[in-house]
Amino acid sequence: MLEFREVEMVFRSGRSRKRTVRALNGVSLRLEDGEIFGLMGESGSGKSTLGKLALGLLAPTRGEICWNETCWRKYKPMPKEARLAIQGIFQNPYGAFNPRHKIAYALAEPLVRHRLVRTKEARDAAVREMLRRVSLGEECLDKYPSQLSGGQVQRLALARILLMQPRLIVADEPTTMLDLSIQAQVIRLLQTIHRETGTAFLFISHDLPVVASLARRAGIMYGGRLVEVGLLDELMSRPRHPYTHVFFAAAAEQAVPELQDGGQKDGCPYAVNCGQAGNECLSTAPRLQPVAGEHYVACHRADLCKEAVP
Amino acid sequence: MSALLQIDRLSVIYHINGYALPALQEVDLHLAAGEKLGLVGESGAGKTTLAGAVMGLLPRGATVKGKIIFKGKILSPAHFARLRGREMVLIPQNVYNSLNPVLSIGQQMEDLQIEGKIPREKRQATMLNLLQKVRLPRPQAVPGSYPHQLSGGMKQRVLLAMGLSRSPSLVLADEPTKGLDPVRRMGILSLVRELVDRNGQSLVLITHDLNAAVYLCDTVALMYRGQLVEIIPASRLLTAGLHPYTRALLAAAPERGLGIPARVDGPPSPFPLHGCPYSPLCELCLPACRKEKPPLFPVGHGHLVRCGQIA
Repeated sequence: MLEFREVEMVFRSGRSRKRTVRALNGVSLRLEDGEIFGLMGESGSGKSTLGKLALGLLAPTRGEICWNETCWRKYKPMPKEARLAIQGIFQNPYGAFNPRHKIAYALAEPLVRHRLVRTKEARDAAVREMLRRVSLGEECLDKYPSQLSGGQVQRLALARILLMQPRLIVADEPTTMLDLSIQAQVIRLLQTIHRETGTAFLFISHDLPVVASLARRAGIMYGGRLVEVGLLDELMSRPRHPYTHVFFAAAAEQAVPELQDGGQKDGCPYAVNCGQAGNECLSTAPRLQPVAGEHYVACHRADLCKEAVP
Repeated sequence: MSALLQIDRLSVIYHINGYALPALQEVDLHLAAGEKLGLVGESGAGKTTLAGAVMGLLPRGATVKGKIIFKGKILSPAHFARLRGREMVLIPQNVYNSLNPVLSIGQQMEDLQIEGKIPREKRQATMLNLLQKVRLPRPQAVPGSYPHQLSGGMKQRVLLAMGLSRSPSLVLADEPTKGLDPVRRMGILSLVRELVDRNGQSLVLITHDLNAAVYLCDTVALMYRGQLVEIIPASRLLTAGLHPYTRALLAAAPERGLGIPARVDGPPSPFPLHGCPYSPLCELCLPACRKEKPPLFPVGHGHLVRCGQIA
């Protein structure tokens, strides 16, 4: 399936492109066929950048990304097969639609563009069938996005990418803008789609309850690195990275310390906030090491964190 | 506790394209000095309109009926300019549009203290003290920077510092934790709680986040389509919420089962309804509910419910 190999992403800005932001720093991750993988972490930790790399919207500075062993990197573009197989939905559903196009046109466009249908009848039938799948009526087809609610437009965005029959959907905070009851509808729909089509999801969110309702396996990101990966239940009950402790405690409304911005290049990004940090944490970044079964943690002091000590 | 803010039969009607759209319908609310109230509801419930009415910040052309009594005085348009920023503050939802992009943070914060002829050094010391209070990292560097140089979370804290600079007795915070990751969300929640508690200020927290309201507030008021449907002590919300809408909202949370309410799809019609606003969606709806709006009925200490099944 999808694999990130030592991916690094540096953004440059400023007058002479000298200011750099290292959004991702050596991330390696393998998604299994048909799984829902939850990606969590603080704002700015690189979650969305990783999602954009998977979609080919960005090219990595270093490292490579592979889809079924076909790889792409900085000067080697993403193969078309992968582009079709990996599709994305994002936080703002209205941003995914041209406000001047009616829904009927917007939904049919990718089918026409990629010549996936031969006749008008087949195209209309596919669109109608997909509308049924996302429980929307055909009256939507003659409307503009602004005439529909956020939940409806998000379901249409989902319908449009499902027409491409993707094998992996990158869902970047797809429910954050929605009201609670609409969020429940969209999550239920994602569960159904996963069950019926076996499509894999890279589900990016910082909302733990939402991720927990979908994902079996999850990763926690901090400062451009993946600091812990494992089964979500295992991460929640036995977190080994100090940031994971803090993340889950905060999600449960427990008082947590304020985190400082680490901002250093070489060492562990969490070292400035870590009570256990030693010299090796400041000089070398820890790599993901297996702790038990599918559970991996990137921490020099993970042995000290066996018990619940943040 | 005496009432700091009393809202009596407050209705707000917006006029759009020749239609009269009621945004608030006869809202009665009572806020004691030092009380923290959570105003919870989905988009279009009227939460922000209520805050706007209290602050006198509604768009021109909105019709306001009813009374807002603040510290024993009925508020009229003449009062707002004197009270805003001094006695009551609104910490706005959109942190990106709420600071002047062409003035440095220092200039904007000093402007707040312009009256009273305070010497410059003293104003700057007050400002630094405030920035420290909201726990901004490296507060000395903040006054010289411009809004675009700060992150969203830092701007949120600057706005909080500005809001609290005149020690208002009423703080209205509109979705202060929207879009924050769990660690930052908890940081803001505990910070707001600490600052408000220290000064004995009253807080109105407008939010979608039920858990945040339970954490921060004493009382939670649930709104649906411009009406208050339930007022409940925050500690009892998750277990003893009674109104069918409250129950649907609780059940819809992913951690409580993702219950999908029997809900009409699409944006709810903004036009007035007879009877209970929730009746078109309510599973427990009685014929009487469609005819007449049920009263807010007391069911326990500090717990009121507007439901035909209970009244």
